[in-house]
Amino acid sequence: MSLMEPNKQPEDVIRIEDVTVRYRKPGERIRTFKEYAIRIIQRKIQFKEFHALKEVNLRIQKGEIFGVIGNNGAGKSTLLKVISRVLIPTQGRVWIKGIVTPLLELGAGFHPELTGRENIFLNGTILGHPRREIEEHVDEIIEFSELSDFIDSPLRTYSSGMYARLASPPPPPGNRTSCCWMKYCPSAMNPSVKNARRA
Amino acid sequence: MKASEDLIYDSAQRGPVALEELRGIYRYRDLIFQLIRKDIVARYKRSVLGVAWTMLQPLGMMVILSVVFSTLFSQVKGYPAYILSGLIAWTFFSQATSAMMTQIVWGGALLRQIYLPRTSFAVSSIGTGLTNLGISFIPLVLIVLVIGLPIRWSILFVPISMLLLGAFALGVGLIVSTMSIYFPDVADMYNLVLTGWMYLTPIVYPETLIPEAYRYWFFHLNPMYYYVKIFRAPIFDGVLPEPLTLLVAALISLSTLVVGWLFFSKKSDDFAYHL
Repeated sequence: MSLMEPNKQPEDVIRIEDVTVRYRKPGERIRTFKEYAIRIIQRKIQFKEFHALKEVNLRIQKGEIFGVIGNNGAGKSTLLKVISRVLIPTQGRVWIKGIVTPLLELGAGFHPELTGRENIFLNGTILGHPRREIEEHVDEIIEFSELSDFIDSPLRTYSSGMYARLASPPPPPGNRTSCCWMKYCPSAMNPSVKNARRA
Repeated sequence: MKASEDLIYDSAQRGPVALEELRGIYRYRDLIFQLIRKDIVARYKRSVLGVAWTMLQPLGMMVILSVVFSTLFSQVKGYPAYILSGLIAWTFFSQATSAMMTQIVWGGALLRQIYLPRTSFAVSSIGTGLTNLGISFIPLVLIVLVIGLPIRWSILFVPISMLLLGAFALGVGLIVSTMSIYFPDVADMYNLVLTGWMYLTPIVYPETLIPEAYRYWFFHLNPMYYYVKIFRAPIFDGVLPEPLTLLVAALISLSTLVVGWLFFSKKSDDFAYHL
């Protein structure tokens, strides 16, 4: 994929233009309806605002591998959430071609009572693939996961290693799509945290 | 379904969220199907009787209620079928709307990480509920036969009743699940409301129990009254529902669904900040 044909215009797959994300957080978290009703009457709801992203511009082309590095709270996750359509930016424009496949937290999008194969379909449709596409690739995915002998047993019988293998993303589907594959480390694996520990 | 590589997302050209959700549901229809399948398969996988529980549960309830109330309401001919025809409609409504609240919590973990039409979980809950309702129809027909009530052609009308009730339940469920995202205690409150609501609706008792002076307002202000009626008429009475009842039921379904859908959609961009 990284070898681009020489006379072909590079094609944008992600465009981020002047994107700003403003979080609006209540000064203290209101958890129950009762509390909310009381606060409304007291007119005591205060919001704190802060900018997680401020006028960010970015273009990513097809075949490009793009990394984002930054400290805790720099806005990396917010940027990824904006790209994966989870957060709608407060201002600016996000343009995406293809589908974005974030690496889900281990276990999200799986159900323990379903078999490995059934979970491939559940997880695949959650990631936005039509059933037909998954059917075409299900054998590759099973092969990649190295779980062929257990693929029709319920997920709850899997060891945690097997579970992780099923949950790890299948190989990118070749040149077939302009899919954007991205992974983001859970905060526990954040490099700066790791380095701090090592230091 | 459109091949995934051709999809374009542009946050500057989104259009109304309610419409975007509607298109999203269509595009993610395979997901809806998988979610329904997961709910039905997962629920029964570890039980010996499996799907039979869908039929046994309303039957068991019916037996209990018939034994408890039959001396009280002995004037109703074919009382067990009377209960069951109202009960399956009620059970569908209460289970589907409650399920939406739990589903949005299960789905919330996903909605924080990946884009999905936010209404997927609500729509799939209704799908699961309608499937279960369809299955629980089998014991109902058996009971009607055993009791010796005639089965008439009118029974073919039931799918329409199911769709109308499904639309109403989806509307109500969208509203309560939106509220439960912001305030988790809404779920507890709603359970209480459901219990009270069930006894306000003529499910275990005949309509004549309510004194005639208040009967009109007592029932006509309760949306569930119309749905119980359009279920009971074709099954228990063997006639088509009265046109006026049907019309009111259809209007309530439509308006609740539209209001619920708009309300949910309006708040849905904000969910990722709250879930």
